[in-house]
Amino acid sequence: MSSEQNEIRDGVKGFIADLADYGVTARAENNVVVYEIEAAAGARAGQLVPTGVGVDELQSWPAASPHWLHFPDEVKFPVMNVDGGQTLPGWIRHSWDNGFWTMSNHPAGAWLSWVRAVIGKATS
Amino acid sequence: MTSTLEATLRSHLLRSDGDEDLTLASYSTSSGRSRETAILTHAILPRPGERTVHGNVEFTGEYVLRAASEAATRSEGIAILHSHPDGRGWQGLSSWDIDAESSFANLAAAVTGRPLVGMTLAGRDSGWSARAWENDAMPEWMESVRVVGSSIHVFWNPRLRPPPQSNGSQLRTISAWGAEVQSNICRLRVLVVGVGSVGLDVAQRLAATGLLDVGVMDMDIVKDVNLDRMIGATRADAVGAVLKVDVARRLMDAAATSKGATFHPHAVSLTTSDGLRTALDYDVIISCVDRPWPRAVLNTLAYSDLIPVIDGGINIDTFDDGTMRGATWRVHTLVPERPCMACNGQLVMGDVQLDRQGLLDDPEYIKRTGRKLPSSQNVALLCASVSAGELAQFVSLVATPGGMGVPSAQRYILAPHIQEAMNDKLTQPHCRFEMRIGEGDARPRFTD
Repeated sequence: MSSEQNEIRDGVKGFIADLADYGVTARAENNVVVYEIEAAAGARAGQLVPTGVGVDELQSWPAASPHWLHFPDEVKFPVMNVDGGQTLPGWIRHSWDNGFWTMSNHPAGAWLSWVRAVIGKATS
Repeated sequence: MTSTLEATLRSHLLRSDGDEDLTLASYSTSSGRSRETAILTHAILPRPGERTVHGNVEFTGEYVLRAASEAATRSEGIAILHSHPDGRGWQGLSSWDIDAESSFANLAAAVTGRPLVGMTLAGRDSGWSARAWENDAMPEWMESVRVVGSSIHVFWNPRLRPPPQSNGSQLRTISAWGAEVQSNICRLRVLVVGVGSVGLDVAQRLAATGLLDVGVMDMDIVKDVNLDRMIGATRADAVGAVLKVDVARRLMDAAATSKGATFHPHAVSLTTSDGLRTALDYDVIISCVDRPWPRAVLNTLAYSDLIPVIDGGINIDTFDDGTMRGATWRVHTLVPERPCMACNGQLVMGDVQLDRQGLLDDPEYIKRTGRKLPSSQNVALLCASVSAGELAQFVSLVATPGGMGVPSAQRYILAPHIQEAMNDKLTQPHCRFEMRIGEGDARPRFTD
C-alpha cells in the first residue's frame, strides 16, 4: 500500500459521495439510488431528468459500474431494451451496454458523462 | 507484504554497524476459511528519541502508542519488527524479545482491537519470522512470511510447515533448480480455479512437481463436450456426471510424487463468499476461467490480499465458412509490480455486471442487444499452449530463473507464429484494484 492513504469510496455510499463531487445530490429510495441530471441534447435538452440505478448493482462501485439505467415511464428512447427488474413505481429500467467502463477518470465524472449521453438520445 | 515495503523495512533493520534495530508497522487482515493473514501495509519508522540503539535496541511506549493510534485510523493492527544481525533462518524469541513484545501486547490490542504481531529479520540470510500475541502470555507462531513482488518469496516456519523429503522420482526436477527451491515450491499452497482443458493439465503438473497442497475449484461436471480437451477424463466420467474437481483429484493422486501430498477439491463458486474465503487460504492462484465475474474476483485479491494470480486464455477465430483463421493465446501474472487485468485490457469491467446477472448466457438478452454469444472454439492441440504459458509464469514467479521474476504479459499469435512481450500499460489513475494494495478484508466487493 502506498504511504499516502487513498480515500476509499465503495458501494452505495461511495457512489453518492462521488456524485456529490460533481454537485449532484443522490439519495437511496427503496432499492434505487435516484438523482437528477441536466440533459444536454435530445427531447429533454435543458431539463433536469430524474434517473437512478439499482442498489444491488452498486456493490462493486467504482470498479464496476451499474448496467441498468432507471427512468420514469415517460422517458422514451428510439430503441428500448427494458425489463421488469426492481425499480420505483412508474419507472422502467433500461439496458445500456457500457463495456467501455474504465478507471482512467474520476468514476462519477465518467458515470455522469455516460448517463448524459444516454439521455441525449431520449425522444420524449 | 510487498517486496517494496520489505526492502524499506530491511534497509532500516539491517544496520551497517551490525547493531540490532527496530521499527513498527501496521497491518491489515485477510480472513480465509482456515487461514488468517496479517498483511503489512505501512512502515511506521521511529522518530528521534523513540528508540535507542546500543548493541541491542530499546524503544518507548510513546512510539508504540503513536503507531497504534495511526494504525487504528485505518482499522489496522500494529507489528513490532526487530533484527537479529547474526541470525539465519526462522528465529525464536529471546527472553528480552518476549519481555519487549509481551509488554505491549495489551496496549496494541486495546488501541487497535487487533493482536500485536511480532516479526524478526535474520541478518545472515534476510529471513523473516513472525508470531501473533493474542494476549501477553506466549505468542502463536505463524506458518510463514510471504513477500510478493515480481516473484513470491516465502519464509517457512520449519516446525509448522516442515520441508518435504525429496525422493528419487523428483531427481530431474531438483536438478533444474536445486533442493532449496524445490523445498520452497513444494510447500506452497496453490489453487487452480477452473479445471477444464487448461486447469486439469496445470493441476497434474503441479502434483507431479511435488507440491504438497494443491486445491482445485470448479462447480461443473464432466460432459461429453469436454472429452476432446480434458485429457484424463473418461466417458464414464461424462456418463456419471462426475465433478471436474473429483476427476482432477483422481489424476493428481496418480501423478503425485511427494509423500503425503494432499489435493483439495472445492466444488464451490469463486463468486460466493465461501469460494472467496477458500481462495484466501492459498499462496498462489492459477486462473483457468474465462468468465468476467470470477476473473474480477481474482483481479481483486491479487492486489488486496497479495496472492499472485497467474491468468491465461485463448481465442480461436474462424472464417464465415467455419475454417480456421487463427488463434491467439495470452498469459500474464497479477502482482503489485504488474498492472491488473482491468488496466491491461484483459477484463472488460462492463461485462462483469452482465455476467453476475446471468445476461451473458441469456439468448433473449443477447438477441435484443445485438451482442454475440461468447465464442466456444477450443481444441486440445492448442489449449496445452495456455497451460504451458501459465506454468512458465509460475516457474518465473517461484523459482526466479536468472534472478528474474515474472515477465510482462506474453502473447502468441498462431497464424504467423509470433510470440511477443506485451508492453505493460500503466495503471489507470483511478484503478480501484491497485489503489490500496494489501487492504485485505476491506477489498472491493464482488462476491454475492
